[in-house]
Amino acid sequence: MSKKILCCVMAALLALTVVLAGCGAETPDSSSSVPAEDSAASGDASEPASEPAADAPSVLLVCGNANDKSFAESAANGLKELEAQYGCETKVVEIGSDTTKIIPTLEDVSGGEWDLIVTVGFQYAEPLAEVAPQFPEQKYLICDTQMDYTDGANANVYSVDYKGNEGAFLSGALAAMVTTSDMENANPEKMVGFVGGMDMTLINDFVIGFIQGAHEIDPEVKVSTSYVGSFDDSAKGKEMANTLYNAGCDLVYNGAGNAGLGVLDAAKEQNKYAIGTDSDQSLMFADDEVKANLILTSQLKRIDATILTVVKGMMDGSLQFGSGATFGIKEGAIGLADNDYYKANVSQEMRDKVAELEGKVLSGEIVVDTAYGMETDAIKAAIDAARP
Amino acid sequence: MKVWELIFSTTFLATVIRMTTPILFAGLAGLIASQAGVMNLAVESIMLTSALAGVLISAWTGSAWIGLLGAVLIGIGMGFVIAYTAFTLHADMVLNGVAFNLMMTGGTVFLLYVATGQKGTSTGVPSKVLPTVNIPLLKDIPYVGEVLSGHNVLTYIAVAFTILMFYFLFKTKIGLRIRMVGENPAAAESVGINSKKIKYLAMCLSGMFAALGGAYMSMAYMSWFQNNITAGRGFIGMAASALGGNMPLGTLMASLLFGVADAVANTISSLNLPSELVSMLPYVITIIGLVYYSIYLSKRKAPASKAKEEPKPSEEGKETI
Repeated sequence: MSKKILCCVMAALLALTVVLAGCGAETPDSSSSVPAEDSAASGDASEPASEPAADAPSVLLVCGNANDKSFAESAANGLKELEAQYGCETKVVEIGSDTTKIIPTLEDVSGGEWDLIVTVGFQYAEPLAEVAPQFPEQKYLICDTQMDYTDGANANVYSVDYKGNEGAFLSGALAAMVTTSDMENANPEKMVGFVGGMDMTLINDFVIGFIQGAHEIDPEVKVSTSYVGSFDDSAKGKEMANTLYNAGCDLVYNGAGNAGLGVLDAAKEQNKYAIGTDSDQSLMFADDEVKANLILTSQLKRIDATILTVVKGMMDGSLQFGSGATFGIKEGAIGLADNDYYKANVSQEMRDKVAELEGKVLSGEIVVDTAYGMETDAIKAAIDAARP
Repeated sequence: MKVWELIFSTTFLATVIRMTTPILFAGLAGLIASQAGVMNLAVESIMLTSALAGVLISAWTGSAWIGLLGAVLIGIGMGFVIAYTAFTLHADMVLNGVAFNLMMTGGTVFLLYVATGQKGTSTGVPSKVLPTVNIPLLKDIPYVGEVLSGHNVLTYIAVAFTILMFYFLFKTKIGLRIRMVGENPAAAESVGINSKKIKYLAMCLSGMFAALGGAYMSMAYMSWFQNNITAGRGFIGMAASALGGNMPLGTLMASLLFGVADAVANTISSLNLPSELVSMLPYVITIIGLVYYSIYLSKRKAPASKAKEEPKPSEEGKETI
């Protein structure tokens, strides 16, 4: 008898394995009624039947996890916005964290069913370079990285990356104002911290901007930088932030994706400040009042705004595929989250100063340094020079 | 020098203890399985699943302790299922472990989504956290108190289990049987020990320890579950038990070694050192440890093989079987 029950349990587990292996973390977005990848593979997804706006393109997003409280979620929100504003048909295909699924998925969805295929992140750049030439008529948008366009390569791709350094500049300025202030949890030491995911140009671009912003306020402010070496080990992120707080930092910037959630946890434990990144992380912890109040603001990367801008460009014909752009404060793609916590916890004076600096970057009066195109040694030297 | 100042600070030593705890639990899970002669490769996935179970159950019931109990029961259950497939259905244990690890990496996210509608983290779930313990008297001793007191209750449970494990393996009848089955199942069978039953027991215990390690990650270290929250600590723990010769004290030492290496890497990363070098450090220490251990073993081999030539009545024979 018990054996039979066990057999049943095992069979059920096996079935579960098959189901899980099949779909990974995939679920169709609310805007689509059919299971995403399968239908795309077999090609029975309904053609965009009726398009409310005359030339509204149909848009498909391929991402890892559309609920990641970060880039992919922002992109998925962009699709919802497209639907609401232009009546575009949209769909989200989630492929989980297995990067080997990127190429087959892109091949499956390419070929004319969708006017524009959107992907986010550097992991997609190489697969896209492989797939895009196979479908010259298909248009692609890739965010947060650049492609190679020399000699007419990738003529059907538009890429957008971001001036993360501009946002980090504002964050750095705010951090410096906080550490030199007499705010409740600020200590006399003029020192702030930066926890990055990995020692790579994308992250170092933030560090360089952050340091420049801090020094814009007070050249004596020290910036201590650590790298987790991973974007999802939050326990390690927490320990790194703890170390920085213990060393005298009263504010740590989270530049480590999910691992950075540990930074925010450390801030709460030590009763010190933090600045979030990528999405509005104060709102993410809105049910934890103490933590949300210690996250002074978050530096946003508005993938949703980018998708809207690009689709608008497609519709009025101003967008040139086969080229790339870098969006910053000017394009509305980068900025600090102006939420209630920011208003409540940061003084009017500081917020005015941040707004003033934002204006200066916008007008070109201040040019924020970037790690792109900088020698690795120079980046290293700049980061080390800012250390205490 | 500044490094030494940082390394001998109380906060550093407290960090070591925090980082060692999950590795020690995983190490105990690997240890008990290895002692029974089986390999529990699924430590990582049991940790991951229990981490999720602890969060969800504590949120539903409103009690951290019931959450912990649920996590442990699920860990034991997973150990049992693996034992059933391996010892009753005769599936390959390695394949089994790999399958479990792969299944639960995605499976935990799937279950999190089903339960809460979230796919990245469970930050919106009102899950409970296990309490920290201030040890009376000890906490008032300067320096020592700051390092040893005020940790999460699971940290002390881990240390207690390490000591208990020693007594269990070497001073109890069932412990002796586990070691016998691990050493030579046929010989154990010949004196009437049901080796299958012993292996089942070892796998369930292994599941329990892994579950405690998982619960530590999501209910003590962090206060939420997140995609891949264990980040390979289950595997590090298995390495720790292997490095520690599958002995309780050895495993504790090896886990501490990994904890120290991790904490050192954390601490010196804020100094002017190449980050590649720093993130390499824990693994370099591992390799040095393994080399040292094998040299130590080969030195011990000589007298050991001599002893084999002239067998004398072993102590094990005197104990009741």
